[in-house]
Amino acid sequence: MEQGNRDALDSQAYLNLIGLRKRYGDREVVCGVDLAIARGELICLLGPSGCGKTTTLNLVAGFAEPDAGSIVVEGHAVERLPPHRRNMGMVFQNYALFPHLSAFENIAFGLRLRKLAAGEIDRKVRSALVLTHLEGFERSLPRELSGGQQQRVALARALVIEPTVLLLDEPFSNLDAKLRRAMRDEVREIQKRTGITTIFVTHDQEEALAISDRVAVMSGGAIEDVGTPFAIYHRPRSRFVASFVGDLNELPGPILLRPEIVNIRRAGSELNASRRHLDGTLESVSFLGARRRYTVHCASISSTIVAEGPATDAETFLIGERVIVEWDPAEALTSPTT
Amino acid sequence: MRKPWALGLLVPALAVLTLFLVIPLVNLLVTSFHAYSSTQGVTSRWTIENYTRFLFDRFYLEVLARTLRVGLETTALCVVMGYPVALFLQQTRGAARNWLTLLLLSPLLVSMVIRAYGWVIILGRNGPVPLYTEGAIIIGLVHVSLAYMVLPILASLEQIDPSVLRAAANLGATPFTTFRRVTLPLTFPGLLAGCVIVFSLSVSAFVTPSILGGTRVKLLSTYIYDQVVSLLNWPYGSAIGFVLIAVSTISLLIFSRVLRRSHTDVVLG
Repeated sequence: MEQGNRDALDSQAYLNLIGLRKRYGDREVVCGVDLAIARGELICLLGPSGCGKTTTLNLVAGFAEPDAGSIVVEGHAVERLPPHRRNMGMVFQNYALFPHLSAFENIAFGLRLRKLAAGEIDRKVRSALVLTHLEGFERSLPRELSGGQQQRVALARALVIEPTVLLLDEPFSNLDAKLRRAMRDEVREIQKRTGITTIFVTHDQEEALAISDRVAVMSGGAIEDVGTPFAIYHRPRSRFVASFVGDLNELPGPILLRPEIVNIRRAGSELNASRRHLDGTLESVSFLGARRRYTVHCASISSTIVAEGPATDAETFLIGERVIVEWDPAEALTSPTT
Repeated sequence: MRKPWALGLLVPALAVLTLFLVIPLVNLLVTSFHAYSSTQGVTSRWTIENYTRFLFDRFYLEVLARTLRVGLETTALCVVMGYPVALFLQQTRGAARNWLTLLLLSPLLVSMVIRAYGWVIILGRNGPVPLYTEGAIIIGLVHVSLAYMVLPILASLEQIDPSVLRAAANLGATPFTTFRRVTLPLTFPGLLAGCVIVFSLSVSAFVTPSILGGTRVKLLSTYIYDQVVSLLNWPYGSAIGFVLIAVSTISLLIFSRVLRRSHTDVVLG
């Protein structure tokens, strides 16, 4: 799966976005989005704010109607259907729980609208509560729940209706860093177990790379690159993608280097002939826990290079010290065209 | 949480209310338990006959029933007319909204007497809702109190997170179902506040009912006025006043209980 097919349209796909366009006033927010998503896939729309990722999600959910293009789920075009007839489950950034309803009733909301028998509703809600580890909170009102618990209710509420597609709009942005990682792993785990096709919107590249089957990087209302996290990170299609999904050193050439492939050595060290190197002066060091990150000024190219190394006592450098940065040219990013 | 000096913030309002409302009310309450004689006015003899007289007088009980009915019907009409207005205002932005709010409040900018005489001219004696009927009084009262219904409902609507409404649609609710199961229950506090204000204003209104009801349809407030000003029977007038306060308070309590009950029903599906 590492070497995923990065070419777009596929008639066998479960969910197809075809030439989607949306204009607000005189600004085209989404300008020609094509994306084919396989059944059971978790795909992430990644991009800076204003890149059109949330609007794309809203078009899929039906909260906005596209000016052009089509949204096809299992061969059925849904782009003209109102949201309540699309059977898609959405988790909102602020969870959007019904404040007047208990956790149980929040989750049961969609089932009650589907006129299921009471026993059936009870059974389904209970299994959703188990799936999201919410047993014992069924009678709590949203305001009595923590952020993480509210998040789980929102997820359970979206999953319990057995939607065709699960849509997640920056669902973790209101959680603290630790909880965010735990929740994202949990969501991924639940998504895999239920096998539900999922579109996930985020501006957090780490989150996107960590949980997606494929990542679609968006910029200026269009998709710049689609591929597996590995492909996107190591073989980005454009300089924008390269710099958005990770840190980047840009050398003349152009040569694009991720900091983690650049090593720092003391001036005068023995160097391997197959590796490229530059002399420089250490400008700053930041301690990242497991690693150290060095900023080195290289006079020969009059620019700075960021290098990384293990954070051990043996490898300490002084600020202002003459150092060498070196890397394996085979590990440089294959230079994208733009 | 409250700072110790916070109670001090109440001093000006408390002073005014005590001086001009609580003390006179206590005074009236005392008066209502005194006997009246047509020669001496308020006598020093203690009695409950003012209350028993009211409660055993069919005529007065009918007036009380009419007053409550007018209050209830005015409140109901304000809900039916005011809720859509609040929904409309909520969806309006910018200058248009400010102008519409001003329009909504405009009846309050006109003197009550002038506003009522305006309705006298419009309604006439032979129109669909002729003068000197309960209908005429209700129209006049709705005109004054609509804003008091719309504004609290609007405030409640404003507090609803729009993404909650999207979530309902996403889960399969039609716009109407979303309104019934999400918007309406979430605006119950505003609705209740609006009903309390409008009902209280309506049952205690004096100018509008006396002009639009004339001598033919009188409400309790008009009779209180007659007792106090024309007949100088202060004890009986005070007693009627307290009956009105008691009955309207009880009605409001029952009403809010019922509303809360139906609210809970919605919560439990």
